[in-house]
Amino acid sequence: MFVESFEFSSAAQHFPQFTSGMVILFGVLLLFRGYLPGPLRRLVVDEADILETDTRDAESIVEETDSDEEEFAAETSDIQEEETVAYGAAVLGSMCVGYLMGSFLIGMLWATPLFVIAYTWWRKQPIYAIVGLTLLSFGIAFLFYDIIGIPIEEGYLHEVFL
Amino acid sequence: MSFEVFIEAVQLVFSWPTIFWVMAGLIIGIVVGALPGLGASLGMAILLPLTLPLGGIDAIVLLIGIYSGAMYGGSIAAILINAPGTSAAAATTFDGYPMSRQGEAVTALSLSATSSALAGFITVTAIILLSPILIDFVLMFGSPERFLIAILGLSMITIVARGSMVKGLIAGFFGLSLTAIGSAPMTGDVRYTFGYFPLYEGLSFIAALIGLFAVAEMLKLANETGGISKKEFEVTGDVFGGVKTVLDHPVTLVKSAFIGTGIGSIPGAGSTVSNFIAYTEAVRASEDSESFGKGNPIGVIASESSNNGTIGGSVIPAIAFGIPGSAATAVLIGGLIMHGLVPGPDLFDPDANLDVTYALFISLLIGNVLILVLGLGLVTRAGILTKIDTDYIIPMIIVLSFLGSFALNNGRWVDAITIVGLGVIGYYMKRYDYSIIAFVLGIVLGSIAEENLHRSLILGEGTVPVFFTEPLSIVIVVLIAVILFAPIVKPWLE
Repeated sequence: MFVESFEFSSAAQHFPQFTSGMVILFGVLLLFRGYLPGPLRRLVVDEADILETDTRDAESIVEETDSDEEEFAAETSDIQEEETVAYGAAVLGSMCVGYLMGSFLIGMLWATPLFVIAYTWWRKQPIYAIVGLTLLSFGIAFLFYDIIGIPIEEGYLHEVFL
Repeated sequence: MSFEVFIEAVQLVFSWPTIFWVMAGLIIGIVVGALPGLGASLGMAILLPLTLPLGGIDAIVLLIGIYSGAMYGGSIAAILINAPGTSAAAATTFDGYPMSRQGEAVTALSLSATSSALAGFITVTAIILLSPILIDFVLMFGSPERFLIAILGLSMITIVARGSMVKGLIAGFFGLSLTAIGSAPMTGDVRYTFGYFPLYEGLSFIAALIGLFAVAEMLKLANETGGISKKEFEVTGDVFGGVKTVLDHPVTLVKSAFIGTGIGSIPGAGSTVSNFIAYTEAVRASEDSESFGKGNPIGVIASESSNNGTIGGSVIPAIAFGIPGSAATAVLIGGLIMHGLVPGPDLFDPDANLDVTYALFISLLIGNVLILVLGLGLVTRAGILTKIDTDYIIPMIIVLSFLGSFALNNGRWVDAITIVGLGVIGYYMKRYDYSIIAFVLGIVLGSIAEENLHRSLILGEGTVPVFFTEPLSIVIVVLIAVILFAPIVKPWLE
């Protein structure tokens, strides 16, 4: 963004140069926070991080006295929790991308119920919930199409094949 | 103020079917306001052609009812599902949603209804009494002052960013950078569009808000099970406790309401800016500022008082000069013109159309009473929604977000891509403690700041002193300096 900004006219380049330049500057500060002098480091590093580091130091002293077996169990549990936490968001994020692509290909009116079926199926919902939510979502999409008049009934495939 | 015309306007508004259109507009407004992505301007725009068969005053009270109802309705989704129905309710999510998570959804909704109604009532009454003076005040704001108001809003990043100041600044400047996409104000240079025509208009900040708040929150909830309200909390809360809390904080209520009115009356600033400024002022003034963002009721009072306080303020430049203070007032101006009521001095002339202006303000007063009745009587029951399993809520919110964003610009794919992209970015920002509020401030204020900076520099022939020539601009500059340097100077003074 910073480099590209030099392509614009003088009046139009200042704003993106300034904003992207500041992102770069603060990003660099954050990246090299470990090498910054004390007062500047306080502005860059989260106060909670400093406290956390202290806590971690204290914990590490205590942990040294614990048995290796307990340490291993705690670490494994943390890793598993982290993986579970990321998994739900990753699946939903992927489904959102799929919903977006499906909407582009076949129209949002038809992609909407498919997205709802996919999500509720993945979450192992009972069949009545899947059917109910799918019908509700289609109803909402149809209202947007019919009342607001947004063009969601056709997608790219309609243009190609019909 | 012409008392005879005022009485005439009261009789007019309470006559049938005008009073019906006031109520209908308010209820429609609450519904469209509560649906993320719709909001006042879209609801008003959809209904605008349908008002053609109505009389001028009926149409205008219907539209203003939608505006008022939507401004309150935005808080319902903000509190219950962390998705502000309108951008004006964005700051309500900061404390309203944590209250829901703690099982205090009913109290939060009660706070919202009471502060919205009281703030709206107080500010509209004040405007009716002070409208002649307010017009002179509005005329004092030129481009340099508008630019400085935007900078004042941006300087709030230093207050709202928690933890690492640099992370907050990165988030804020990243938000500002995104507003550079599209046609540059004044010069018309096309920036960062890759030749893709729909990007010429830039990213829609409403789509950005939907992505950052609704989609990012759904991604976060996808990792949990159960309802939005945490398992260990019951969906409880007290309707009258909420009312009492608002009445116990009259200073926050009145201050936020008039921040809303003042900023709302500045064309281009609007309820989103006033919402953040009122919220951050409440944070600054509080002795317990650390509790904000974790379910502090004062945060909800400040946010909701300011956005309903904005309505009266934003209507003034719209009807006095035909200058929209927001997208919703732009539609309102369209409604006025469509019904032969040209904004200008005629709408303040007792011998011309002053009755329309008074009817508009009286319908706002009635609307605020209805907000209180409906808000406390019915909407607080909606708190039970937070106990619904997230597996049912997530797909519905995602669907509404997609459809709402797609409807913003009548089927622009960029808006749908924006909500997904910024939803993912927002999710990671939350996870790694980057301030979403700072990011939103950047997105909202970027174009206002750049446009008015250009205009000011043209006015000042490229010189900076243009920002220090008027007393009003000097006052704003001092306020900015206080906000920026207070956190640095304060420890030294202590």
